[in-house]
Amino acid sequence: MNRKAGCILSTMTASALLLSACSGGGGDDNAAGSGKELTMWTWKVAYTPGFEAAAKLYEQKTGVKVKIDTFTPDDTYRQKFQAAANSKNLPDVINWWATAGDSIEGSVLELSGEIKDDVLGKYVGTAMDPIRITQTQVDSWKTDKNATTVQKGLKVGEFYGLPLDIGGFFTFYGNKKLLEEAGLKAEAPKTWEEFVSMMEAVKAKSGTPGLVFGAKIPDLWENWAGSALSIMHGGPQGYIDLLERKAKMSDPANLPVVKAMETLAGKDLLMPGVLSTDIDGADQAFAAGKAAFDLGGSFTMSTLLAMGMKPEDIITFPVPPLEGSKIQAWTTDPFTLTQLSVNKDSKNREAALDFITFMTTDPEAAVAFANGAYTVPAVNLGDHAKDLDPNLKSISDAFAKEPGPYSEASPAINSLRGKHKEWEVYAQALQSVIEKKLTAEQAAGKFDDTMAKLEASGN
Amino acid sequence: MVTTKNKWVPYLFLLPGVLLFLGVGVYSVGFSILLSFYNWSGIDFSTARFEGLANFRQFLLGDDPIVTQNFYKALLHNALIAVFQVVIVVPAALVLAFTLQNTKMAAMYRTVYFLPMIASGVAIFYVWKGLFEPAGALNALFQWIGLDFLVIPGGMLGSSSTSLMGIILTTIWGGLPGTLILYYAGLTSIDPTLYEAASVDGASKTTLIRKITWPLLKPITLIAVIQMINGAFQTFENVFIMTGGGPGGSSEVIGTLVYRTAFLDNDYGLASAIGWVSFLVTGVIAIFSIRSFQADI
Amino acid sequence: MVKYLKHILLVIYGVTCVYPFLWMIGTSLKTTQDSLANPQSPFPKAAPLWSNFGEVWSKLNFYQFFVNSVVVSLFVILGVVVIYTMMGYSFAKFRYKGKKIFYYTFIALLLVPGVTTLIPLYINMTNLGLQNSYIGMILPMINGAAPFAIFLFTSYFRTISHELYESAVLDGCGSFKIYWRIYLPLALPAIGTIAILNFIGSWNNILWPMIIVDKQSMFTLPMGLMYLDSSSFKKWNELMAGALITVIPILMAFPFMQKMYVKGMTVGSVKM
Repeated sequence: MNRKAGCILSTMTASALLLSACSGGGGDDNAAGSGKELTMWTWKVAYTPGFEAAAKLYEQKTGVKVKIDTFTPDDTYRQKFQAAANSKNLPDVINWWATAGDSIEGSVLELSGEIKDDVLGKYVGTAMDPIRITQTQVDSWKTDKNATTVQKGLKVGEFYGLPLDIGGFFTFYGNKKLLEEAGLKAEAPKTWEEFVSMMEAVKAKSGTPGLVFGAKIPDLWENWAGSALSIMHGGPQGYIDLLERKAKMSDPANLPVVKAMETLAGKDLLMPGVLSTDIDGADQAFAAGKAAFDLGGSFTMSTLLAMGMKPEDIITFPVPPLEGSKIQAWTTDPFTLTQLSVNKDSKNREAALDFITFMTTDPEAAVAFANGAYTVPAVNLGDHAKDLDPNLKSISDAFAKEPGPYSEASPAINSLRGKHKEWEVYAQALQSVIEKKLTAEQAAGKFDDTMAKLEASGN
Repeated sequence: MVTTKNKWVPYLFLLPGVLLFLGVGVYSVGFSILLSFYNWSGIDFSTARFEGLANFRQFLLGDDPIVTQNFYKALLHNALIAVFQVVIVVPAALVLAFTLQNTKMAAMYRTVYFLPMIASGVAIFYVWKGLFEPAGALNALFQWIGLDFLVIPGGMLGSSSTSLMGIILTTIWGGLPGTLILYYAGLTSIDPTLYEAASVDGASKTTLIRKITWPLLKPITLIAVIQMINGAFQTFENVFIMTGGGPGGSSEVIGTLVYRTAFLDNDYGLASAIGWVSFLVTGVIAIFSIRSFQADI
Repeated sequence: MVKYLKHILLVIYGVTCVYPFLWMIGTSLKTTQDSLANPQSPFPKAAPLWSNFGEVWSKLNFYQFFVNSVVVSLFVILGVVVIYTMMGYSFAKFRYKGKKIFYYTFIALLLVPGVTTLIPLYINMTNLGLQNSYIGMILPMINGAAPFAIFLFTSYFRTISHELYESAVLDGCGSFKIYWRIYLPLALPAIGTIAILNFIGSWNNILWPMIIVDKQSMFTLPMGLMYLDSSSFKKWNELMAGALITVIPILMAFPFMQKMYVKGMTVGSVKM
């Protein structure tokens, strides 16, 4: 029997070899061209019920079934996409991070010729911003010798997906009970300094540390809080100058933001072990009462509720400004979290386009999706907003309706913060500040030195 | 060894394995070597741009100071993991194997010692992460036995001076059983009459070990060392799950650097180049260890 | 006195080996709240919650995952044993041109960094039309096992007395018959070792199946575990219950194969 198996195996590999020699594409059974069924991929398990609810509505309306496959976690999904794109095995519809230039553009349909203003007008103000390619991005890819050919080929105004849902970072969650036990009013602090003194009061009273966040991820602080502090302190232009290497981190305009972290570390207000805590772990620690505050985003609430907290146990507020900031209150400018794109080789291209338009603009579908996925849809709901889950609705109501300071800085953020590696060095230096191994001045100095070194070597 | 009448016979025995390699391995190895000379985002090879040695210059010669710094730091961490593992595991496994050798309940102990080998990888790293937490078992243990200076307030993985140590500890935990079993098996396979005969001839204990035990343990040690070095340079999953390479890059290894470069920065060419340089480094070290043991496999 | 010290040493090391498993078992029996609030303690606060196992089992199609895992592991073991005992036999017993090159090329593959070749491998396998198939999962795993299997089988076959081969030739046996009838049965301990190693390896492998398989009906057990892990937050109790379900088959199979493992390792590595 073994001999037979050996035979089978060797003939199998032999025939496999023959196949590899002469086959161009691969089997396309994913995108079976019956036109009756669409396939879609996502990486967000939490979104799956939402997608299914909306897909059901779509089937009722058009008779076209949509099959949703989930691959998780994030990294696996990225690998999966890359792998499938290379062998033309992508599904008809793809859910992806709403970031232009994330190298999926070669595989999905460019939509500026397909989707017109009648559709685009239905989204909330800034929803298309991170998706549509800007002049800044084009310029920066053109001069970046490490940019990929795909990035270098993108043109201003193109877009490769439609906005599905919006959200915002820059939100602190506070444990009401701990605050009240420390004799504090469970109210949002007006300034960063007041915020710090609240943490100190809690610590003095119960010994509970003030703040937890997913500091295991080096750039999380900058993405979720630091940039808001900077933009408030020096105005959007101040932050843009820093991104464009026209200012230094050690400038008096920017150093206070680094100092804010130094203060937290110096006063031992961060939860012990914060540097090995990821996003999940931070929410868990907060829910278990191990810290008075948790840094998150609009999406954090659903996680906290799932962990057994109640809305009345929690206060939420946006990142408070440092004293003397140019902008005195942070308006949570929502930005697009994820998008829907169409496989450019899809055999059901028209149906897929119709489906993503339906998913992202039909109010009923959007509500069904939002309530199932617990995320705020990118479409202007109008009267349908009353059908949103109450918690979701209050999150959505808290979003600023007009583009705010973050939107002003976001083109520069999107195109430069990933490319200029001094930010990577800075993120790691901030981790050292948390450990009290570097002072704020030293961390800022590291940023400046790296910036100079990189500029000198043409990076 | 023989020469067969039909000279093709030995090749026929190689055929299935070689065919499988041609069908499954050659393409991926060849393609990824090729990739290291390109700038490629990972999708659709027609968009790849040939860049010669640019990728290698970027991280070996400092064309991109940050990547270069990350690379050498990661390489150093891999080397540290390898050195610590060899230096600790080999003597520890030897001591345990000698101790186990003449113990009555050896079989029971042996079964227990096997456990770390079969643990489902991902799950066990989560367990370790829990043990290293600030209020975790490790800190609690040190506090309990009064070794307060060993307590790390931020947890072993949460502090840049100890995170790599935490990684090394888990590697040792996972690597010790295999080596221990090898040594144990080697020791029990020695014919006891050999020792008796030698003792009768008046050999001292050190002579016994030098002349009888060590020659037998030498090849075992070589295999164990090479496996550990290779394992150390391919370290990925435990770092990825437990520290993600941090804090402050203090536990970054080649594996996480390659992964990050390929899948998060979408720079497949650079990632491949880093991967293959680390392949060469591992190979050189392995050949060097074989030479220094003067063993011919 | 020395005797007690000896046992103390052995027990201490034993505890460090067992503790993580205790923690897994303990956590799998906790309530979700308990596992959140007291993650460190290996003991559940309330009465053990056995229903976690039922919950996990029914949440996903674990039975199907189990069957998939068994099929994949079985065929990986079979393939590795058949293909690489043949190669080991060839390397150990014959003299021919190019032997060293073949041998060292295959051994060097051990050092190939896995992450680097992932996407190229996927492109290769889909070009062959093998995505979403058992074969697509199995073949690369067999190939990946080549270096160590070849190494061990080769050194094992070298230890088998050469006179055996010569007397068999005198009896009129062909090379294949000698391999099949004489050498393969003699190599049983080494086969056991390789089988166990590859059982553990293929059973726990997650990176490759995750890439090559799209359909949930083709998931293996660790993939199911990964799926549990990704729900809105980590329910440690369910995760550990899933992890235990995944590990139990290996745990049960192990004592039986342990002796063989040791024997194969010894002969294969000691007498090179």
